[in-house]
Amino acid sequence: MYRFKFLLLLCLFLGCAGCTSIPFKNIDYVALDNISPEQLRQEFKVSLAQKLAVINSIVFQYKWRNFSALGYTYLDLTNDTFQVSCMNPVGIKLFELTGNRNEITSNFVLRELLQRGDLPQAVGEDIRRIYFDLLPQTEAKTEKQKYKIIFIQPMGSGIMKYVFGGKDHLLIEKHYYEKKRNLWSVYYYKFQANKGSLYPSGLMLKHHRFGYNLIIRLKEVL
Amino acid sequence: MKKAVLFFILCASLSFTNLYATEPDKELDTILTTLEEKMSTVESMQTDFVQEKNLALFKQKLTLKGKIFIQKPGMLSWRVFTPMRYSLVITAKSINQWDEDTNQTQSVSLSANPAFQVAIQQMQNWFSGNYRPMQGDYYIRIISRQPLELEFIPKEKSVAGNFIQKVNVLFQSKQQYIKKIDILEKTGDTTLLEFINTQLNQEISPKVWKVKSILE
Repeated sequence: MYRFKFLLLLCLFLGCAGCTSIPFKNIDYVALDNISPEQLRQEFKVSLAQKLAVINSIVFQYKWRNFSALGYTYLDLTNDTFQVSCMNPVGIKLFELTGNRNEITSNFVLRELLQRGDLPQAVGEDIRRIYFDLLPQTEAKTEKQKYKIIFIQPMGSGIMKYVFGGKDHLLIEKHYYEKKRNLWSVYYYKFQANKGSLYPSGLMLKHHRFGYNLIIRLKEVL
Repeated sequence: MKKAVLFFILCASLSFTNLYATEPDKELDTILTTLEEKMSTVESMQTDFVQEKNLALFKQKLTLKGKIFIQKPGMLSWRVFTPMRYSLVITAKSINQWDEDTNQTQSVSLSANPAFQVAIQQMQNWFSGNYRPMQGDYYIRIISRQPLELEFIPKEKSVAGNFIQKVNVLFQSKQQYIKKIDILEKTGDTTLLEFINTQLNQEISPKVWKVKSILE
């Protein structure tokens, strides 16, 4: 009986692990003994692309359901604006929106998607979470660990925690907390260099509060 | 006298109207019949495609490349190779899709996806060559005769009319298959589908109808 229970628990655990498996190669951590937080911040600041016109593939995971799409995204991080058009792989447009730090405007939403809540608002907010505020402020508190450098700063009504690491000393995690509760996290597994700038090319947003994941892979820099 | 003149003008105008209404209709009917005959000789088709999507909001275009396989009656395999690997397979029994990112096969419910349904129906319609019944849903106009190019404008009450403003279809010189489809959507976006390396009536590999099989 105990053996059966153990097997059942193991199956459940493996099943859950399978659902949230990481679709990217794990970060290769290196010791950051000789790297100062400010040096790391400055290096990341100058290497990040400020204007991105990219095509991504997007996988939305929610309760064992997967949904994939192609996204055409233009971001101007110098003034925090974005334009996104999302379509299915056959080329049918699903939605299109524009936004900035304060507002999100929906230009088009496929009628069937309107039945699934305020999708443009949700997508717009996720784009902000993923692409905005990639750089911690100079006033952020820093914590140096052997393999990671962490920045913590107030953000809106909560706290943002940045984790840098890996052999290229890049941003690898961003976590947002409110009342000590982690509401969402973004894991940046890969950055791609293009024309001297870095583009996030493999990342996953985990919305802990609403229980969904977004997996984004860079397909093309335009 | 005035009445006679008025009657004469009325008759003349009616006959002119009639002439303009029937002559192009006759020509169109002949063209559609010829097309139907020529395309009916095609039992299967395999072709590479380049799909250029110009979004009204953006300056750059999105390009998708892949391969299409068609086997009459009613089998379609749509493979996208770039920018992501994706396949959609329609057989008599099912409609399934797969993509490399999720690595999952999912069945497609067309009733829950009207836009998808329109797109698939459009593809099947364009490649079938059976254009005369489409006159119920579209106004069809001849744009050029050699090479043959037709314009399809959805009628207001048709399902396609919700999404599409017009479709131009350019045929290959022998009029056995389509060379280009140019779609103008209601949103102002355009989609240009160009078919290259088209092979007719060649044997199609059975793995094409398995949605998860990887094709190069």
